[in-house]
Amino acid sequence: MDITQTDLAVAIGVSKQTIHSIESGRFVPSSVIALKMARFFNTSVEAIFELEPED
Amino acid sequence: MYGHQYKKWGVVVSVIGFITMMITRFGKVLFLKKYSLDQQYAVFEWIMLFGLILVMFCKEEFEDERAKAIRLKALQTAFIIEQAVLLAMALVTGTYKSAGPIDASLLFAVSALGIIMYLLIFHVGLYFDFLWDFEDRGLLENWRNLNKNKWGMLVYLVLAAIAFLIITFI
Repeated sequence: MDITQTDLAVAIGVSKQTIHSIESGRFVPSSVIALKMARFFNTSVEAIFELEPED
Repeated sequence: MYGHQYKKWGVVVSVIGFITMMITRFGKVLFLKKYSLDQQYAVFEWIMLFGLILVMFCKEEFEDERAKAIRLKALQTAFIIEQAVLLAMALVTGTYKSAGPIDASLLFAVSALGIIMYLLIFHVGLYFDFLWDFEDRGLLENWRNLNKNKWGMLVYLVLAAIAFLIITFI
């Protein structure tokens, strides 16, 4: 998929910085944002996010 | 909270307040003929503070959950720093008999320090997040992880010290 951070941010109603922070692992989104992202990519939340060993 | 469109007006008002404060203190220019220079300085202090308060209560363009989380953390940090400054001042004035009574300008300085600290931490955290290794683990956990956040914290502390020196001693 050819999608920019801005496209995703607009689609799920957050800022571009928030998408960047999630991608770089500096911000853990709420389940609502995770579900919106999963719906946008037409996949499951587990396909996008996973638990880290320290979680 | 107010809409994002009012934020720029808060910035304009606070900058005008700060510039006129500096002109009053260093240029000795009297704009308000009914007042003395010190009274005029106090009036412009309040104008600056009003602008900062307006900025403080305005939403960001994208007030999403990350912005709210950083806002909360900025409030927590600014509150702790302001309390530390207040306690340190109480200790100093309570220990040394020669210290004079706390006047209104000092109370103003402490209040302005808290607001400036909050705005600095919030905006640096929101727009320069490479400085702030954000982890949703609460304030105490982040203070313990200072070795991760040391550059960000150093920047905050230097900016806070400069802000406090400006509003206290100028």
